[in-house]
Amino acid sequence: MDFNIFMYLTYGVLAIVGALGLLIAKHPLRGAMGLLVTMLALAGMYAQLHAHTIAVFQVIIYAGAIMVLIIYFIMLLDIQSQDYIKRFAPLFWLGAPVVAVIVGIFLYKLMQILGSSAGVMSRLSNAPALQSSESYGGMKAFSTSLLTTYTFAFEYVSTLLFAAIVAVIAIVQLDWKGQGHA
Amino acid sequence: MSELFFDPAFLLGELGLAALIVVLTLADAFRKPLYQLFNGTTQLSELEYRNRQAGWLTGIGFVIVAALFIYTNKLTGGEPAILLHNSLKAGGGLLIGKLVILIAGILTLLLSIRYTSIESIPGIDYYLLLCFSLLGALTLIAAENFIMLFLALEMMSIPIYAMVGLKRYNPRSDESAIKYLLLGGFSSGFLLLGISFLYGATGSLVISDVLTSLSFPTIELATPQALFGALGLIFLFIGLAFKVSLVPFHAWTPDVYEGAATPITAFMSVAVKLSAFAVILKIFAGSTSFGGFDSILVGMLGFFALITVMYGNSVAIVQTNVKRMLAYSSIAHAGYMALAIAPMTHTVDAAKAVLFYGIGYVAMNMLAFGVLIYLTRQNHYCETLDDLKGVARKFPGAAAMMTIAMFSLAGIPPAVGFVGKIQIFMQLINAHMYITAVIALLFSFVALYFYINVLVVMYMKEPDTDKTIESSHQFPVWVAMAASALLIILLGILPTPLLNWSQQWASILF
Repeated sequence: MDFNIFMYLTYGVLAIVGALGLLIAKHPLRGAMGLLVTMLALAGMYAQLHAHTIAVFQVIIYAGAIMVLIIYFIMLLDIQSQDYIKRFAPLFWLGAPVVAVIVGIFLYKLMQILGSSAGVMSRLSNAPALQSSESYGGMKAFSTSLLTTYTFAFEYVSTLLFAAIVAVIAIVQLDWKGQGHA
Repeated sequence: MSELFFDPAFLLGELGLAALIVVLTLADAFRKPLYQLFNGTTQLSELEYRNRQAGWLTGIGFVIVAALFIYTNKLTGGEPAILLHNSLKAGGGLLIGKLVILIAGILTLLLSIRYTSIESIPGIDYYLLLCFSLLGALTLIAAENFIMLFLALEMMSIPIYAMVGLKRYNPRSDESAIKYLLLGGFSSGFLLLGISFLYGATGSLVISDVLTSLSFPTIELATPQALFGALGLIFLFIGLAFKVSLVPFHAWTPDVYEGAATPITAFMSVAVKLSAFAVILKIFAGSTSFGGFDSILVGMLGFFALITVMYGNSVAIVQTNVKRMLAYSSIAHAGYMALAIAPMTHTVDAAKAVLFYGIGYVAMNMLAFGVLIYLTRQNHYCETLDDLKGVARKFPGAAAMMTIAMFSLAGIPPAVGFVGKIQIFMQLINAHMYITAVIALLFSFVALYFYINVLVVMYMKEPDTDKTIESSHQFPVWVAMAASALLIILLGILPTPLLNWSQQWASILF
């Protein structure tokens, strides 16, 4: 097996394990660590797919900034409270089998199409995204497409951020010059 | 394919709206000196002054933007064009859609001017968020690639999450804002998952390219591309169905509609629903046939649409809160609109029927919520059926308006709702889906009960208590109500212009 494919699959398994940990862990901090594993594993997958810029962003923004935010929130929570410790409402056990059946059908269908595990491996080793390509996914290619093909979307995001700021200010100011009903 | 074509003439309206946002922000920053300058003699409170200033500015701005849209059409000769590397489509029949959404915004503004004052909602934030949401809706119906589609959907939704929670002192408003935010985020997740599956299957983010390269020769879905493409379409549909509140993705609707400020409820139920439906039409009912997968979609859409009609209409019967009742009714109406495309005929006629219904629905729902806003007083919501008891004695005008709205929602001629329902049922009958048509028709009769019940309460019950109403500042509400009522009646008797307009809008989706 090619080293690239091996690492890609390893990161994939790690991402799933982390996500399951997030779902199952009773202590919120352990859940957060599960999330961290998923995020780092995803960064690894991006790197294996030669999307290096996205991989760096994933580590800096998600595994860095956003994880810090999440852990701060957990610090502020009263984690002794049963509301945070309790997992899986009764309805979960109703919904879970349905989801499991749907995912099962999908996986069955997928395996039917892909054939044996040898078929999967041959598809993986022929996948264009896993082949090395110098020009793809680096900072230069990323910036070029951001400022040409996606110029408008890029500018639009700035307006969206402005909208989000206004929305937050509108929600946070409780009452206005004593006019509110408090 | 991906060329940078940009002519600002095509986007004058949107640019005007963006300029309005800047003007509103700056005007509020300088409100103190302006307040002292203009408010020397009258004794307006600062909140009142701020609300009025924002209201007037927004109103003038919206009229200018509407004029810019019409001017754009003149400048560009009404020919559609695709701008900025497949980001947006502009011109042509889209003008109709943009004007309808803008009119919904103007009606919302008219309904809000007095409401924001009696609810002590800071007007400037409210109108700014309304502008942002309108900008999102206007770009959403024009989006040509999935990135823009997602961003525009967020631009439309994020301000509404905040607007729903603007009545901060009201716990119900808080609750509904949180519910809407969480479920909305969840639905955006589905949408993104769908988009990434579609990207994985086709290697493109441009909607038309994705749709043309998705080919399902059989139902079997025998290649990974077909399997992931189908999965992507289903997730995309789920994400959009949240926004238009089809059963089983409707759970947020009643609570959010009840908890939000009434003008926002009206805006959500018309503008958000209409633009989300325009996207559904573009992707699922456009000219691109999905081949074998169409038969799965017929079953899926038909099933969702039919249970939506059944659920919405049956649950609305037991509601005692009129806003909640209208929420369930809006669920049912989304079901009717989805029914028109359920046969998956990929014809302009099907899209036309949905858009016709959606545009008519703007007028009727605005009118119904307008009457509720008209009857709202300081420290007293007009929301339950009890509040409407004997309203006809005191306010015959408002009761007459409510009658028009209820008749139109129930689909009684000569209102526009009747013509809309005929269009929908014609689609089903042309596709030989007789059983579906009959069930939907039966549930329209069920709906008759709770719409007429509102009228019975208003005209035939004795009022509980002596109700007075401040008559001041009701003029904008009257303008909005009269305009919607006029539209309902006129378009109901003479539907041809509206049919032509929805035909124009529908043809740009193809």
